[in-house]
Amino acid sequence: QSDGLQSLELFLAQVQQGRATFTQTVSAPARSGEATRRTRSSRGEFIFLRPDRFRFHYTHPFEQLIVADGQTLWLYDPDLNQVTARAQAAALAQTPASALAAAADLRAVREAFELREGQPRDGLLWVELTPRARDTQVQQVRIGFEQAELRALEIRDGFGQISLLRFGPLQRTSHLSAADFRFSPPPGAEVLRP
Amino acid sequence: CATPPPPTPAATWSGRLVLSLASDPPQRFSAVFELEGTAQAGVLRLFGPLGAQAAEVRWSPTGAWLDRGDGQPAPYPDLAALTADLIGAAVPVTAVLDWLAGRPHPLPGWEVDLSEQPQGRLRARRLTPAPEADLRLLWH
Repeated sequence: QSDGLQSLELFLAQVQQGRATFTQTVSAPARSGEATRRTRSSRGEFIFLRPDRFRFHYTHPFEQLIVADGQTLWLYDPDLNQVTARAQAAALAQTPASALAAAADLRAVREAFELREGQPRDGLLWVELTPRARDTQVQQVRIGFEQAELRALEIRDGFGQISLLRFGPLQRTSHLSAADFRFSPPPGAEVLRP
Repeated sequence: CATPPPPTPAATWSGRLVLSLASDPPQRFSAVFELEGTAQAGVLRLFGPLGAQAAEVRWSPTGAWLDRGDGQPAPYPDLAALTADLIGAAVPVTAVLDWLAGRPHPLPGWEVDLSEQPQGRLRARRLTPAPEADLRLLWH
């Protein structure tokens, strides 16, 4: 009976690239006087190519592009026409995206995160990842699988906020190449390399 | 006797903000934000690109607090001191509340463009003191 950890191991070993739409719901704890948690939702497309390339292209409610091209992590905001470029290694070490898409294998994930089998929930098998570095905004990450198919990525931060990305069917025959992860700042964009 | 001015209504704004500093080297701070409250009291939440909350700023008549999610909010005498520490420029959050609502709020050294406020965009530049600060807000 495959559990969450085995699903993650299989996913890292067998799925070298993929493309999927996602919806993201960020829910914050209800504040005093509020009945339910406040939520914000967005959606877009996620593509990745192991070991170190991925792209989150948010299309709603506003367009944002996050591209890891192997060396540089690019953040592009078309409305503001601004680009921020960071060395990928430093910027990505602890992020949930790196555990999901930019890790060569389980051992690489274990370097950045402590791994534990999570409770099955919502029909998915989960892995719980706790960042080893203490100073991250992310307190805990959960990755959810359905028969070794990636279905969900849940991120909890230090404010009790839960961000849940739900992935659509993962298209694996997408023949992605490095070219799909190249990003060059559009003309006139303000580029900053902090 | 003059009746006290009506308290400005607590408003809520959410969108994106970018603060660029013409320091050497130049710096930029960008975040998705939620801003709620009045000049007297309120909260500003700042989020990273993938939705994780990065910081929370609270203010009240007795001071301001910066919480980075580590459970120990750092106290500051006021918002100006707090924002200077957080992003390198003393951004007058209470003035920003007026700007977001389209209410002029002149500030010495600042040049504020509210012409696109109805479309949910504003730009405020602090010319003095150096380094020049360029604050842009987009909200929906």
